[in-house]
Amino acid sequence: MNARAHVFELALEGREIEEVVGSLFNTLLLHRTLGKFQYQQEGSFSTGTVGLVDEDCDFIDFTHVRVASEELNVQVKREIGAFRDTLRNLLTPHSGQISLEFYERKRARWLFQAECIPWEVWTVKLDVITLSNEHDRQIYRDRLAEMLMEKVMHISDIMNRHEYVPKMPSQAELDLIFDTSFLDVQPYLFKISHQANGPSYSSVGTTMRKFIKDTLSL
Amino acid sequence: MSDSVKQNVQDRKKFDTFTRYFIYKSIQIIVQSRLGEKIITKSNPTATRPDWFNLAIIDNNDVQTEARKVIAGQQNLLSQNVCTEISLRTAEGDAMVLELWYISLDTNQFDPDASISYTVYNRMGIALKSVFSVSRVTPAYKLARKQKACASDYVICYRVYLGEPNFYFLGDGYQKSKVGSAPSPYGTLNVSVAYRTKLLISPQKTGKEAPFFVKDDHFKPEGSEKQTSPPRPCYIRNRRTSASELDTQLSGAELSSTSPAQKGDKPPVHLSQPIRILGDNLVTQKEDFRPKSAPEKQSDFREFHRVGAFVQMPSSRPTIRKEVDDIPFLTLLQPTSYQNTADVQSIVIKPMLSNGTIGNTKVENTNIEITNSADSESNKSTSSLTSAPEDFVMVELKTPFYGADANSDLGKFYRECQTVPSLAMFEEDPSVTETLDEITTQLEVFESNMNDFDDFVTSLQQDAE
Repeated sequence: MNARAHVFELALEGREIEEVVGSLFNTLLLHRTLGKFQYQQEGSFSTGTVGLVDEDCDFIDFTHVRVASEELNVQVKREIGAFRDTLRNLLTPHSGQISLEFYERKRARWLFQAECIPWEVWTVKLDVITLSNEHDRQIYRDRLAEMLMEKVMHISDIMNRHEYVPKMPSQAELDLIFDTSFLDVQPYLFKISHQANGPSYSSVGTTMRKFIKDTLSL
Repeated sequence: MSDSVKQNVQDRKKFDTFTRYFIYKSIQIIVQSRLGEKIITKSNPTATRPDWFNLAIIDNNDVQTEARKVIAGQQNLLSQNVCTEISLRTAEGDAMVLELWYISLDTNQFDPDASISYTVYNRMGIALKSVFSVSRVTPAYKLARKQKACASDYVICYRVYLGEPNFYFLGDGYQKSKVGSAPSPYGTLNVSVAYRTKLLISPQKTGKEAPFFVKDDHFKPEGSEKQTSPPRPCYIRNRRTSASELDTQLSGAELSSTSPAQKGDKPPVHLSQPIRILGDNLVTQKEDFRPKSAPEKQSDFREFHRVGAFVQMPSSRPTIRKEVDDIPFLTLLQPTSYQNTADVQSIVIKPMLSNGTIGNTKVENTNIEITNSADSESNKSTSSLTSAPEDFVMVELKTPFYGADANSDLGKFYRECQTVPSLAMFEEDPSVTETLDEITTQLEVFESNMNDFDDFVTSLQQDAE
């Protein structure tokens, strides 16, 4: 199965990395998060409520909505923070990419190990630029907010095409589709990975496939 | 066969219910995003009573009433678009439509296999999440967030109506975008937004001019816009609710919207007609700093009513006038009661009981101790308005960076710093030959004075010995 891939390319200053990536990933996760399932008995469950938080940015004039879950927020921030640090510690070239990958898991069977199959990958490619003065910075900041607006609208457009998402699982298979580690909400299984200097061609799925092939060839 | 018919009827009923709540929730999300506040709701994993579309949206009663009123006017749900119009109204009376959100049902596109209870319901939930996301990124959101700070300049209003959206009022170059959609066996539910990109108010297009606009579908019975109510302020939570107060603030046109009985008596108010709208700060600016207007309601606006130093409460003023009519500034020395004011703790007045006479009038001296007079510096000039104008000589205070528009002053200062002219010495840069000539001349002068320098050094050595 081929995963849907979407790529955003942006140029920004180092200080804006966290907020720009956070705005996009939080918007994506909002659409890919459900209320927590509470099973009464097999086949019957109730769904919890997803709260929402307006999140203002400090370095750009932009507000986005994220899921009200501190655990989820901390995890996403940690991943994006690591990407920011990697990128800012680079002397040159200042570029990199971070991906948010939604995947489903297949259980390990006899000879085969567990496999993770991505079904949607969102990649944000960033070029870090340096602006010489505050005037340029202000102009670019406004432009960046406009670009983010376009990206959020694009995300909404894609999400409302209602393309493939994994089927609703039974209670036993819930953790193959959803990340059940959060106490308050239930996002689809996701993984955030980043890389500086050049594109990344690996994903959870391809890595696992490579691993399985290597195992079988022994 | 009858079972499938029964199932179809039930599905249709479910779809109508879901659609109705989808419309209500969409309107809530849109209007609440224009309140000018950050919205924060909590996730609830163990919701005993499930929320619609599993989203924590706290209904605003005024908006809900308005939405229900409009939807009730439809025989078949979404036979006409449900439009939510967001507009801006300036203090000068100009009005400008910022954006139009419209919900429609496209019966030409449908998904016959989608289950109503699960698939369509979830799709509606995703569409609402998109409404959440997109409502925060359009230009109107930024204006709405700033409306509290700029309450004296403008307020954001909303209006819900049935019919075709009036894109004409969005000006040239407006943008349209589909926000959310939920395909179902009965058609595809769409939420779209059209928003203004040019945010400058041009005088000829404002409500003051009231241009006569002839629509091309003027004689079309279905689909033409039904004007159900005039725009209402989004920022309603803190609005003063007393009918008498509203009378002083709102025009009759807006009042009519709250009363269905009166609605038919008045002509529908077109958007371009100026309609007086308020936020709490606007009320403060216009009236609340004047104790004459509503002194008895002091406790109602404690949050924003600050009493400056030397302000006289209205109740004490008549007695002061009798006693000290001829002596300027004497009112400052009178003991004053501040029981009903919000900032009473910032001003402590201790009467001193020594009696004295000034001129022919016997007065009681007071010692006024101000513990925190700098608390509301920005309110100084406004506060002086609250005292009796006859007793004061108005001295305009000009504090640094404070003015009618503090932002522009600071901005101006900042720009001046950025564009500071270069020093003259760098502009008059001498050429290399000139510099060399100058050095040669200097060396010649020094050489001619060499004997003097030697004498000076010798004299220093002699002194040291």
